[in-house]
Amino acid sequence: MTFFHFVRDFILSAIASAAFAVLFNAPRREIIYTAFAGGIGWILYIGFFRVFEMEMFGAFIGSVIVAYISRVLSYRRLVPSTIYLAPALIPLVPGTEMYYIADGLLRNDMYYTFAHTVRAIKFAGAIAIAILIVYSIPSRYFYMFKKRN
Amino acid sequence: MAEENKDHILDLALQMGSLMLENGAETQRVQWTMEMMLSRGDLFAQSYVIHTGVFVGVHDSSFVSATRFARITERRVNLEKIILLNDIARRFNNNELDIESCSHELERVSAITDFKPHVQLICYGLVSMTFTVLFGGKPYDGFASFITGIILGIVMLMLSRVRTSAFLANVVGGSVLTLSAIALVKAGIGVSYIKIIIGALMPLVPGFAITSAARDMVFGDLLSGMSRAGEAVFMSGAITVGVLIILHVFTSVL
Repeated sequence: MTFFHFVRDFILSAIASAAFAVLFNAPRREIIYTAFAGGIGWILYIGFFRVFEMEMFGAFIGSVIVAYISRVLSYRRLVPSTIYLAPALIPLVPGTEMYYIADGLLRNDMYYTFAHTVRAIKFAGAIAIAILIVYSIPSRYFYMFKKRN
Repeated sequence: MAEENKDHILDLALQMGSLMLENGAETQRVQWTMEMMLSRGDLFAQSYVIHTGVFVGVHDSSFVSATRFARITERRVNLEKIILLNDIARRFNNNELDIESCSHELERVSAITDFKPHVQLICYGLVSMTFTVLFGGKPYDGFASFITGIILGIVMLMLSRVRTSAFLANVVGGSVLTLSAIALVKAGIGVSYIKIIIGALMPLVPGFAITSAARDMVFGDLLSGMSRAGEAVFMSGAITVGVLIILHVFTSVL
């Protein structure tokens, strides 16, 4: 995992989040922020996974940071935070497991299927717990980011 | 005059709530917006929103009460409409809009269309390509995945035109992307069909349902949180079935 890989992964996941923001019909002026948040989330995940071999913790920390950035941006730019949160978390959603589950069912390998199902649930749970934690912070701790006019 | 006025506000709030829910706003925002709008007309309002419907009941100081509900059958994700509706509700509450102009604004927002089809197709392709490369595919696989994503996008847009059920759309989407990935690898574009399928699955994943399920749970809307989580499981099951059908045919016939 060299520096080049991190830069490449950041750019690719930022493009993916931006493209997802378009599929969710996000307003044009917010897409660049979504791309930034999506890139940060994936970089944290892949960094913890490759460097420290802590995959679930990486997914959790990535989601926490993405959710935090979304809330800060929502106070800063005066729009609902879903605009940033949903597309930026897409790279961390366990979509790949769907293929492995289908593959395991096909080969009648029940251990493999079950292991991948549990892995998908763990990923989704890590994302959900991260959102639960960040959105439970009272909103008064975010007022300092509010745009003054 | 006063009765009619309150009736209009109630209709307006119900229309606002169902529009927001149709476009993917979270439950708490819909409840809060409707109650905020109704508080303008000297009404005591309680609203109850679940994933598939909006209920609102009001009574005024003379205990004349009314209840309305609306069922939501079609659910899309349109984040721009949520922002605009939020803004309209805020202006309505600050007395910057009267009932007439507010209903005009709502009609204007509901007429807003999605991004143009070719932009959406390119985005389907980009999502597929980037995830194929992120999950370890080679550049050739990325190119094949881009084509697969565009084919998937064409099929999904056509299916959304004919208004089929979400289950069938996801089964067909999963089958189409698997078929296209295998065909492209057989044709010599791309090396590993596994990587192409993994990337091309990503435009279909129910990521929005997972994040909104978690957000509903935070604010205590357990019923809609559970139903959104159920929707996510159901959709991923449908996609898995679609992939499985084609893989099964492919491995047993060829």
